[in-house]
Amino acid sequence: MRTITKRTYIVVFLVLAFFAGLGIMLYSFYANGGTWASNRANNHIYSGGELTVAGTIYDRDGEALVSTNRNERVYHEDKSTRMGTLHIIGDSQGFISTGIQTLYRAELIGYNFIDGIYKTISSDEGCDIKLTVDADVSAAAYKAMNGNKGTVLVYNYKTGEVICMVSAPTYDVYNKPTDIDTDKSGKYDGIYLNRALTGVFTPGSTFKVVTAICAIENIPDIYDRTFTCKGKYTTGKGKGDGDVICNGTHGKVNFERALNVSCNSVFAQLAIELGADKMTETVRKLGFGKSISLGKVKTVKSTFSLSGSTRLDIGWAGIGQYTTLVNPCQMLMLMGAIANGGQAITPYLVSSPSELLSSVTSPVSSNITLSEETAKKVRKLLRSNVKNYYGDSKFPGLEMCGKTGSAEVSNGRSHAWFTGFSVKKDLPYAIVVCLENGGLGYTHAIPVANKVMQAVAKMD
Amino acid sequence: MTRKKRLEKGLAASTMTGGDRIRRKYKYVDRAFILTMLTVFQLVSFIPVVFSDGKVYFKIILQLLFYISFEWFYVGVMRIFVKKVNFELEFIAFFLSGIGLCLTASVNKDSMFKQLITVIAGILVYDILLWYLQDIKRVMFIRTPLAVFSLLFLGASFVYIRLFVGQINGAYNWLSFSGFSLQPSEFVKIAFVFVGAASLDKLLASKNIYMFIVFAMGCIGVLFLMKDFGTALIFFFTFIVISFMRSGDLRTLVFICAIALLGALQIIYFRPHVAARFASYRHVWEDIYGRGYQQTRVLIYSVSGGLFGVGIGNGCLRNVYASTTDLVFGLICEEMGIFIGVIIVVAFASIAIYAMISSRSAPSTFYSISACSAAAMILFQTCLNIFGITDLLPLTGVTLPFISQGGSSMICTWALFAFIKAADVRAYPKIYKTN
Amino acid sequence: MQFITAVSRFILPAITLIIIIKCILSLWLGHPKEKTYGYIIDMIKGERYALNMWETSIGRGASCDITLSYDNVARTHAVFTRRIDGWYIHNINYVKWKKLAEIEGRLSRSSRKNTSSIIKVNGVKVEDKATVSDGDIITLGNVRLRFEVADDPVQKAGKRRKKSKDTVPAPVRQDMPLYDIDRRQEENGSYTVEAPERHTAPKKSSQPKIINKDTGEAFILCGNEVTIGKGRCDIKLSSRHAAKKHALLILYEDGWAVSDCSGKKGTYLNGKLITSPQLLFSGDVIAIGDERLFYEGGRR
Repeated sequence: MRTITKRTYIVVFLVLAFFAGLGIMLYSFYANGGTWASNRANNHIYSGGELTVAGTIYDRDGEALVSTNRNERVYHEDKSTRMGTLHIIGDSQGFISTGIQTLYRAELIGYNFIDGIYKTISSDEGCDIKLTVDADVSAAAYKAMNGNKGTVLVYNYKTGEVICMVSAPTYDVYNKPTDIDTDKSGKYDGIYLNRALTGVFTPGSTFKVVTAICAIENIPDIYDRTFTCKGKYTTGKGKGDGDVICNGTHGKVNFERALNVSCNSVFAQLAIELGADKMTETVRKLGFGKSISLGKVKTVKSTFSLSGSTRLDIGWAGIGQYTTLVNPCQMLMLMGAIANGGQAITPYLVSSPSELLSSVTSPVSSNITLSEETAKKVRKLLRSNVKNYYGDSKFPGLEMCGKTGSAEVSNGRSHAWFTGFSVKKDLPYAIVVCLENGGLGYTHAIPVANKVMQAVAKMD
Repeated sequence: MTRKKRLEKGLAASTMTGGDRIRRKYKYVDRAFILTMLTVFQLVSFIPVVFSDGKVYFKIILQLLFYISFEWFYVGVMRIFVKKVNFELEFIAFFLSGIGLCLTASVNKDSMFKQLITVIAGILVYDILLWYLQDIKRVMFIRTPLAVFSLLFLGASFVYIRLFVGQINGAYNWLSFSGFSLQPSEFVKIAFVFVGAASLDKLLASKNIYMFIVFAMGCIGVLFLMKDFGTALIFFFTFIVISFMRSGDLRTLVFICAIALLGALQIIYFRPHVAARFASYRHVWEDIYGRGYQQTRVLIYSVSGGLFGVGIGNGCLRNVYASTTDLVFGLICEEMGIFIGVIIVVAFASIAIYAMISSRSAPSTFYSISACSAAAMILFQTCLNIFGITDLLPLTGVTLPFISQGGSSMICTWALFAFIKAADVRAYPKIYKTN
Repeated sequence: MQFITAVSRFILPAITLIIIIKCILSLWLGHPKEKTYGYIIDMIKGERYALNMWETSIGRGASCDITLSYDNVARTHAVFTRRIDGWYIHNINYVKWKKLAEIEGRLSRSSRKNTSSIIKVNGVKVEDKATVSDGDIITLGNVRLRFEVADDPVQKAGKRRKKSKDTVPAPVRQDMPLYDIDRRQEENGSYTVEAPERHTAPKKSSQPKIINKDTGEAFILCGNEVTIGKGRCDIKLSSRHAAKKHALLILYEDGWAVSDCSGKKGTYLNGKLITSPQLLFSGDVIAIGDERLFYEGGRR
């Protein structure tokens, strides 16, 4: 009998297999619970594909951007605010995949593994989320963009709070255009995309800041040199050489003046002198090629590649043309690093509940390494841009530093860029304005930047 | 107390080891305490059922009170007249059946009565079978007739279903006549364990298991024809367990498994519609309104309930088809919480361990084999059910023992519990003087 | 309603946990201790095997519960089963053997050689199965085994207890296993009764003796073994009903014991047929055939 009863150990194997399965099941419950519970098919919180029970999303002043009232999502009453914050908070249906309502769905419905969504169901309200963005600044930015496609980004370079993140084209959630899917004119191109996070653009002259940083770090006598601009720069006579056309004939200029007037000849010359390796190294050190995490969402990577390029290509790359594409957020962080003495603070969107903050790894981003000395020098140069060239009158009372850009693109008008920051003690904000096919940076981006920064300055 | 008795007791106490002390402590549970706990549980869990939709369902109250008093009555009668002491297995079965009753009543107020009747019938079958199993001679006597009868019964019911009933839920496994329906395969499960197990002298006298193989293959074949793949799988698995316990020959079993796998592949190859039934396996999220409907709803609502549930009657899974039968584990997780759901299925695993422990000192290898195979059958069915609806295994549509609504399954599980109980010498205190 | 839900969310899991844990612990841990129900004593080697399962297989093979390594024993030879109505021995090769015998019988009419599956209980051949009781001599092939019961199934226990009240230190006498003295000490734990009365037993005479009641002859017991019988024995009997070598008196640690070796004729102690060796106490009467022997004397 003992030989038979010994074989009962087969039951142990079954029990072990059972517990293994149970473990896998519970783990997948734990790992995917939030995703599953916030699925659109969950009739506890969704009805007809729309969220019915979810928490309120507040802006930095506690203004409700979207809340739930009687099983319906209610958005901000001001149309411009609705349109300006659309891409941050997302829509009720979840078309905008990077919106807070989509990304933080599980948190908004108050899901946690222990209680499920019991509290949400029993009290009919979910968990609230507070954002760092300002409703008024967003509305102002949206208005300032004046119908242009593009993005405006503002963040506090000392704390990392994103004050404004507007992406256009946009729409009003209460009055969604019916022809979005059928339109062929291109006015709704990428309407569900948040350009600040998932867009990349040719940087144009704003990239000269990068070339300047590379030059400062690698050419010791850069401030003592003088350059001559004849309206164009001829890289040589060999194969793959050619002319880099300048935006004007600047004559004899020094380094600072060359950046002020955004002289293509000088920067193409510098880029070629520095060479592909040093340029690539600097670009890498400044974090291009890495994506930035804003909580749960990651930005797309900026691309910069000089492999197999000719002297002419390097020249064009040095002034932000060629194949270079940058993400607006990346430019924002670069400005933040320059403004903050070399330390780039990671931007973030969600300020509470505090457990969501833990997804922001550390305040100082390891993406960008910039020495304090270089940062100071670049800050001086950028301040000089505004003071001596654009004019402080363009930014009344803001003490701005910055660089414009007019990136030439194959189709249509150039992208109008402005990247900059204020050096006022009580206004530690960096701004990036990028207007797709908006025109010249000087004429089109600066007024937008000014309007937004004025709104930021008015913010309490 | 006489002097001698006192002396014996003193002697016994002084020679007690640690194991003896544990044995004495856990010899039996406090029956009144557990019954009280059961009563409290059932009263609390039925509150939302009785007072739902702003009405008071007196019918439900009556049925609940009947069930609770039946539990007390049963234990009382068994204690006084049969001198039974151990009711642990019965308590677990009462508890699980109670949960099943509560959920059934909660989803459909009218179906509770039928379910209650089947619980009572299950208990009766349990006690009759337990009484029958106490004498190994009559057990060994009935095996061959039972094998022949159940194989004929299964075949006949398949023919009947094919001719007069037709498919229900894609399978020919419901025998229904005049408003009454049952699943023949559930009853053959009992016979399967009966026929598979044997006492040691019979096992050694004819070492071959050909007769059993023929019987098992006959059952599994008919189940395949019925398209009841879940039950066929349970039978096959139980067959593996029983034949391993009988022969201990791993090589043959691996060989049988390989043949079965080949056969399954053949079926999938030549009959693609069979494979199509399991096409959504591991892809349920790609078709949440079609083939993956049930599984995704189970997952969504199970996690929605959290560890402690949203409260009985507040769930959403109840509106999904088969919520009280196949998907009942999801319903428990949503409304009573994942915690209770896990305890319930762990209880089945613990009972399998118990079957293993008690089968070592069972009064015959018949009891050892039958207890282990019955416990393995229940646990395997539990696995198929809960992992099927959570998409860890293909969805085969088997029930969760005791809890799923349905008479055949309820009676069968009670009967399988009788096999488990019979291996424990404590089940027959009069015969084995365990007290 | 919401309050009830909020409370029952925690009450229900708590009760579930209590019920399931309590029941499962009892199922797992409250199992009765393994008992020794009887013994099989190999009379050739003096080996003693405990029967502590309800079904015990016995044979030459290593997979058997009791392995007897003799050539004449089949790989699996017999199964001892303890049923609710007593003990049985099953000849598991019976069917095979019968078939074989039929074939051989048809061929050469000599199935005698096939001794490997023979089972005898007290010399009677077992075909399919037979009941066995305390003290029976079982022959497997040509190996003689003695079967002893330590714990009878319930039905007999009641009767036994009643009887034991009549004769004083009954538990000792009834349950005293009396075969292997050395082993007895080792396995002391497995014997259930250790009678404290033993020390107070009266010591009448230092020399134990057997007195023939009919002739008045007295025989002083000395040595380790004393044979009784009609033939060449230490104590000669004249009764026709006595066997040549009818009974044996053996000196154990606890004193003299009487054991029957006549087979069918039987030896009676105080009017009761003995099936296993029994300790003798002063005043006991051993009846053999129509002769009665009186035992007198203390115990060592």
